[in-house]
Parts: sequence; structure tokens; C-alpha cells
Amino acid sequence: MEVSVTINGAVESLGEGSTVLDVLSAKKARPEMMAVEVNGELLRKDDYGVTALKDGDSMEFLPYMAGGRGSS
Amino acid sequence: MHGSDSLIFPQALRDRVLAHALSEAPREACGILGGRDSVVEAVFEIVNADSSNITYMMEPKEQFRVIKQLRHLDMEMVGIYHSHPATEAYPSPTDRKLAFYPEAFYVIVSLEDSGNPLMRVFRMNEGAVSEGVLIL
Repeated sequence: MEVSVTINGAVESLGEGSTVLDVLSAKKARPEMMAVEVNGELLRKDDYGVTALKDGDSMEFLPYMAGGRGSS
Repeated sequence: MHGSDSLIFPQALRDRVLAHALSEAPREACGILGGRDSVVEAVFEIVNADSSNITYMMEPKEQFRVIKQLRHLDMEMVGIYHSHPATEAYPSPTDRKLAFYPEAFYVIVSLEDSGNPLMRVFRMNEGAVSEGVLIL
């Protein structure tokens, strides 16, 4: 059984029960660097491995954008 | 390195970035540059979640909002900008460590000389830095 999920704007088929962490792993995206939204809601990192994606869900992920001079 | 070394950045949009940097000083300002084929067509100011004089982290919800908007406009993220209010326009160790977008230009605005803000552009990839060319 597969579910249809929109990931970063593109519809993809995933195995039923796939989690956010499964998707990040499959795309070789390092979870600690990623911000993730599911259905428009930001997800806590602790929830990446326990959030299963359902048919019709929308997931967005991208690396954090950060930096700066870095020392005072 | 990815893509072109030159970023075409029209003066009016460049002025918007400089104005943003000045308005946020002494805190660091940050934002996203949208466009196509290394040409900046839109500037999106993003809240610095750190609200800091020495670091920036773009507010993740705003990041997502802008990325979706770019997709809707059929644009890509051609660059990421931020300011160094009191130091030179060159990537710091923190900038290099947190540069996760090798395909994007990194634009840095220095307000070290407040009367003469300086903007430079770089590519960063796995700690390596190469300076690009800004074209009006």
C-alpha cells in the first residue's frame, strides 16, 4: 500500500507508514540541518522519526539558512 | 563550484538590501534573493530569529513561505544575503560552517564603514570560499 505525498512541491509515492525521517534519509538530507514543515506546521526535530506521512499530506524541508560574523 | 561566478543584481534591488542592512543595524539582517539564471529579480527580507549583532538564523516559517512563493513565481533562490554590521564583507568561519547551499550566491553587506556600505558576493561549498562578481 502506498500513499501520495507532496514533497517540496512534487507529488511522490511513499510506502504506508513512512516517516519524515524516512523521507529525509532517502533524500540524503541530514536531519540536524533541516527545517521541516508538514501541512504548513513546523515540526520539532524530536518528532521527525515518529511523524508518519498520510495520503494527501504536504511536506516541505530545507536546510537552515544561518551564519554571521560569529564572534564578538 | 556550482554555476556562474557572476550575479546580476540590479541597482534598485541592491539598494533594498543595503537599506535593510542599515535599518537592522547593529543587528545582522538577512534575506533571500529570488530570480532566474543568476539574475536577481526579487528581494525577500527575512526576520533574523537570533536578533543578534553577530549571528543570523532565518526564521524557518518565513523561509518556507518565501520558498513556496518563489516556486509559485517560477523563480529560484539565486542568493542568500546577510549583513556584517561591524566587520568586513567576507565569510566568517560561522558563515562557512553553516553554508548549506552551494548552488546559491552568498551576498554579504559590510557596514564596517557606515558611510560607505560594501557588498560582495561569494560561493561557499564545504568550507571553501570563492568570490564572485556583482554586475549591475
